[in-house]
Amino acid sequence: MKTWVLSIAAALAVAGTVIRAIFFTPFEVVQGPAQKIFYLHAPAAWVAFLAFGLVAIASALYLWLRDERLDRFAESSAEVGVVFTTVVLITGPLWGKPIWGTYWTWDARLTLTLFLWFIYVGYIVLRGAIDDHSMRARYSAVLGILGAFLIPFIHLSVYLFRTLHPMPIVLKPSAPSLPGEMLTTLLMSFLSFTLLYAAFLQARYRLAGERDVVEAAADAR
Amino acid sequence: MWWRPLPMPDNAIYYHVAYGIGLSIYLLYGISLFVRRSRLRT
Repeated sequence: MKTWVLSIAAALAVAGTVIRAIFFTPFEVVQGPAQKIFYLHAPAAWVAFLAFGLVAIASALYLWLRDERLDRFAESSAEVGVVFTTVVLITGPLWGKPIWGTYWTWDARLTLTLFLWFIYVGYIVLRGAIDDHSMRARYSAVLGILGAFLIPFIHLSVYLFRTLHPMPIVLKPSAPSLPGEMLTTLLMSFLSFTLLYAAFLQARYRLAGERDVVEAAADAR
Repeated sequence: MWWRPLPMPDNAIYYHVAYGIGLSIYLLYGISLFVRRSRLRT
């Protein structure tokens, strides 16, 4: 599939979701307008977990099969995951200030998410610091796998620790606790931002492939 | 005055800033991918 097809589909889906969230979804009665940050924050967190989970799977497969495409996939997914985690770490405090009265607190979920961001920023820095291609792929694969172990702890942190962060309202054993209009907007936002992840991933993967071709040609000279 | 603007709800500024920054990050990342690929080809 051409890169622009997926990119345009993702851009339209995100635009539609944002328009629905802003203009056609009611304000929550207790939190007011600040609650709408949720339609940006929660999908970004879901996509970040998906991205880093796929980094771990691709990295484990790379260590087994030594296929460079898996390394390229892991590299691409990690970078896109960092972008989404950055959005999580910015939009979360902007919700926290009006609702909790503070931008940041060293709560288990917030702190672990910040650590996750540091680990994958470290992953990107590590990749840039090693010239040897196979060594870079091996070292970063190990870090990519270890970093993903934080994901279940982050998801379960609201149960494991005493925390300020709200409990899950959709990804939980019982039925989602949201009114229909808000739930529809939330599900649309999950779908559209997952599509945006796929579009970024596809573009970043192609960039990595073209870069490797250019580097191989330069090495051959 | 027969007309007056609707008051901005409490805490709406936080949601405007969050959407502004969040969507700008995605847009800038998309542009950066495009620019990096274009530079690689030249």
